Amino acid sequence: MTIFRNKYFLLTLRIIIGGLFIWAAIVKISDPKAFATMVKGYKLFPLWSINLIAIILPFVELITGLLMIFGKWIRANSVIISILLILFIIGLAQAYIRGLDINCGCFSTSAASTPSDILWTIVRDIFMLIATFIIYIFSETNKESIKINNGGIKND
Amino acid sequence: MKKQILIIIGICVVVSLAANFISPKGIPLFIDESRYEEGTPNVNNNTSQSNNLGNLVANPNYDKKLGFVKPQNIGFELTRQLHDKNVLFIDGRKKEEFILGHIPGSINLPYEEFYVMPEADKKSLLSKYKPDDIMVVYCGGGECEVSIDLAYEIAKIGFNSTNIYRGGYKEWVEKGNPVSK
Repeated sequence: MTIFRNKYFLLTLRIIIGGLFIWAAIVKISDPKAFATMVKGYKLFPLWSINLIAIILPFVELITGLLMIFGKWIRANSVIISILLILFIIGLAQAYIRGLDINCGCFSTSAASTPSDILWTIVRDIFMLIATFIIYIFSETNKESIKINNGGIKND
Repeated sequence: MKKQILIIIGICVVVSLAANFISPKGIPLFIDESRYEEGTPNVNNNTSQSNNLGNLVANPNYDKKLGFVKPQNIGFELTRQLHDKNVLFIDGRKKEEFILGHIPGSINLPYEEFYVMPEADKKSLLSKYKPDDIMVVYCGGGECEVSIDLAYEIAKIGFNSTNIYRGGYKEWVEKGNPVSK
């Protein structure tokens, strides 16, 4: 378990997760219309909400990604990222189970095109979720333990 | 921590809405839901009385709010009649799908490529056609909605008689119609 407390290990995890989120965000921000079409393809949300999701979600990814890398409000940030990842996994899983053809030429560019791609994306998201849990559990504790070792007052 | 979460979300909402407002690629906050409604396809009762193309499709209704003539849904029968009269058919699917089979005589205008074009390019691509030419836009059928979005893109640049064949290529084939490859 000590490796999880290693600050360089945690920093690496944060850079990976943050970097992936920023990358995903930029792709979506550069083409909001295509992303809106993709969100619609998942058939999870009411039509009125599609564009709002397509506008706001990429910026949630971008800002949480940046905060993750810069190490600001790591735990709060990890909670948001975990919720997003859980939603992504649910979205992908229901598309897979319902056999939605999310790349039939019916919809715009989709990261997950074939059933095996969807499964792979789910697996990737699960790994990211685990990494985020590790960041959540060990980041702040690490800081607190340093504070305690230094004779500081434990906050929160 | 709850406060921090709310602050992060708040910042994201404000920044994203501002960015969308400024960006030339910005999209409307709410989707036009009505365009995706199935509605009753225009079956047109006048067809038996007249062979005039103008009577085949309903009179175009200019939508003041949208600023263009709204495309309308048409059913299989009317689609077939329009096809017999050599009306322009536009396939909104990707090129790879188009070459595997399409409604004979149709042109391929992949939606994904079309909607990102500047308006001038869109117009020059369709410069051969007159604003009042009847057009039938279709895609794969079934769950496919590219035809709707493409028809709206075409209507927006000034074509007044865009029709959406919701049954699409799938229904066309199922009803035993000829296809081109």
